[in-house]
Amino acid sequence: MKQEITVALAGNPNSGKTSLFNALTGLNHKVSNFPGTTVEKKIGYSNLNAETRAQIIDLPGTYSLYPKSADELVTYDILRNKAETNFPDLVLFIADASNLKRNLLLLTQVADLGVPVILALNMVDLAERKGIFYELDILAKELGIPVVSINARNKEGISKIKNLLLDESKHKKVTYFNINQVDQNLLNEIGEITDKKNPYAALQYAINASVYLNNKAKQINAAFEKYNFNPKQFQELEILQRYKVIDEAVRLSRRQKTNHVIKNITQKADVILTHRIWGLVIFLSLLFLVFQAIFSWSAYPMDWVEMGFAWLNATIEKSLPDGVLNDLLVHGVVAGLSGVIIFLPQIIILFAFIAVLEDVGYMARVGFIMDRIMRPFGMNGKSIVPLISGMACAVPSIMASRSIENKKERLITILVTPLMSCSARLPVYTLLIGMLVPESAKWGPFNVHGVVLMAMYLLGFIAALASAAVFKLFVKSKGTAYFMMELPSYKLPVWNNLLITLYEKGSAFVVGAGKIIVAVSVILWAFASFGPRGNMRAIDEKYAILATSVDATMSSEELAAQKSAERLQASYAGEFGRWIEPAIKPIGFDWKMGIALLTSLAAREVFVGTMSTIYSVGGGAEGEDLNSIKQKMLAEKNEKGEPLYSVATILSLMVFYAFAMQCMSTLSIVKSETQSWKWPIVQFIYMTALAYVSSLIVFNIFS
Amino acid sequence: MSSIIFSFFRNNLNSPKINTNKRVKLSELKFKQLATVAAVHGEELSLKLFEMGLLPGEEVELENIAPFGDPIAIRVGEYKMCLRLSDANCIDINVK
Repeated sequence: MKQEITVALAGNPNSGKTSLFNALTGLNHKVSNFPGTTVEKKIGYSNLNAETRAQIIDLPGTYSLYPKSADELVTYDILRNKAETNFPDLVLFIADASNLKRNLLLLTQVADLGVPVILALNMVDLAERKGIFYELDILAKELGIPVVSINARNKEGISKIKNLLLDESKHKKVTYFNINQVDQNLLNEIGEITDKKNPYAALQYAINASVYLNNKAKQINAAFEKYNFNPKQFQELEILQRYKVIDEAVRLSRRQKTNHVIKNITQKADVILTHRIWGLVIFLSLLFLVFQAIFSWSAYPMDWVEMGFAWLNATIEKSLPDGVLNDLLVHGVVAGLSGVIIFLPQIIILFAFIAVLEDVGYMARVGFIMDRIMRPFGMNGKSIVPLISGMACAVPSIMASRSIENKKERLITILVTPLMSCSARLPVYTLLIGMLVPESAKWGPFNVHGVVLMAMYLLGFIAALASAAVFKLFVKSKGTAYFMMELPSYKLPVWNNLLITLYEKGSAFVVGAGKIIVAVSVILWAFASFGPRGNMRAIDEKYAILATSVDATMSSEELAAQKSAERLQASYAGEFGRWIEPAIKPIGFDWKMGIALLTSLAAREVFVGTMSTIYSVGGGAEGEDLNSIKQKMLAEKNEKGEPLYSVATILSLMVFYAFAMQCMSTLSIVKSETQSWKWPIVQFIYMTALAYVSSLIVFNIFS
Repeated sequence: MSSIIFSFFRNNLNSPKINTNKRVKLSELKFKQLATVAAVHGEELSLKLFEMGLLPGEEVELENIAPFGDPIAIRVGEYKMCLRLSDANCIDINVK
């Protein structure tokens, strides 16, 4: 059994924390949630030597221990509570050397909580390019803690960190802020209320509790009042005094070669990238490029997935004896899974673009140039990140909205983010667009599929803005709205980080979506295969007679197809579909689409899987690939003998899937992020109503 | 006791350094002008800005203006941040 030490990795946003975490742990980590929250908790393991390994907890990046937003609260929560299982033996603090002063503020606060700290100075190369050098031994002496210089991007200095983590003699508790200038009686009282020995930790907890936590807030506020203590003034004093200590340490250890700041690449790039015309043009072109890429780059990998599943299906069909199990696996599970896994390449490409834009520092600029546009809609520039990542998946995006300090702006962002077309709609759009226009169609140099797809994403964005404008009128305002954000220096992406992110997101999609899809496919297959016994038997008997009758106008294959179609109609799924049909007829849907709407309630991408299952069960043909389903759907006729999937119906379906709230995961995340059932219910109702009315309008215009 | 220290500190904070420079608001800063932060008005705003390193005495420079004239991006000491004009309006600076 190895010895284990717990290390918390802390630092400001943009200080290279993720790179360091990946360099230390590689793929040896797991992502879960902090208990009682939805905040992502990343824990990784790093072998320090043969006997000891470090459990490394990646804390969300923050500027101070007085949390202003929900994600900062987590960092604070882990570090304040010594009883917490994740309470670290020491904190590994990473700081950006090119901006050391501001980074060290948090370090001094963390140290004052009574945890030993070691400092990893990152981005030394960037600082050197600005003409700034640090004498590490002087800095270490002034701060009273060990300091190493590292380059997290190139994995330089990792062994130095490991040695420091092992060397307990160097783990020192230091204090930077003199708490004794605060009234001793107040400290005693606060210590009793909060049950904490460290006076700084107690006072700090009390200040946060007076704002964030309900229990004890009354007692704490009473104590503050009694001693005439103004928490805001105290925080101001605390921060300024900390900066005095930091200034001294930085001044003594710093060697500056040039006196003026050299205009670097970042500034030159920003002149263009945030330009009032070019900035917007470049942003829109980038989005356009992404959609083109999703379609053109994913063609080959999608073919491979399709071939793989076809082979799997054939193998199962041959190797298993005919019967219910064979039928279930081939037409239920594999048909449903393949309908979704095939879109993994597209989803990976989308995630890759978002991750790269975030990594190079461009996403912050998007927030900067979009803030003024978002403001009239009750959001701010930071809302653009959840909205854009909402095109990948609403669940992590809604979590990303935590960086928005203002509660009203954050709530509106949460409410409208699911209108952004997520990757789960991509399979639906792809199938439906494919039924509208042939794949090879071009508009000049552009693929028509890509253009239509972009229009769908634009539609989602416009609907999100419009809904936000409506919510702005109804959501009550609390607190002042700020938009303050660091614009980090541009950096080349770290490919290792990108690969790890893609691996995490990709496997989360396959496992998460896969579980739902297998479950839904199996249930659906059962509902579609079985029905009220009397009806099913009647059909079986009817076809048994037809098959033996001499007057054979139909081939046996055609007969089998008709039989399965009739069985589907008579099944439980068919019964549900027809029960709901009167409600969806006005928007151009039939009962089979009704079944898909039902199953899509779990997750939208199930639509394609459901269609595969329905048309596979109903048709009985061997090929399960997308084209054959498309063909079967297009061949479907309504009772008047016209094609069922007319342009009006297809457009109506697309609009419905663009707007409707059909994602259980999103609703549950909204519930936990807003701490109430009210908002997920509001969201479900408004989105579904919007979808129905829009589909009604679209269907009537085009039919 | 504590309140005495606070009031002492606040006076210290708000008293302008002796200089003959022009005192304007950060929102009035022009391109390529250098300035130092003199004071931040508003309790909550000043806390937030202090945490982000925008302190009295720190050097600031206007670097970019967003497409619709607001927000602005400034260099604060050694890094770059952005803020809205309405907040920049609460920050007094001395133009060098």
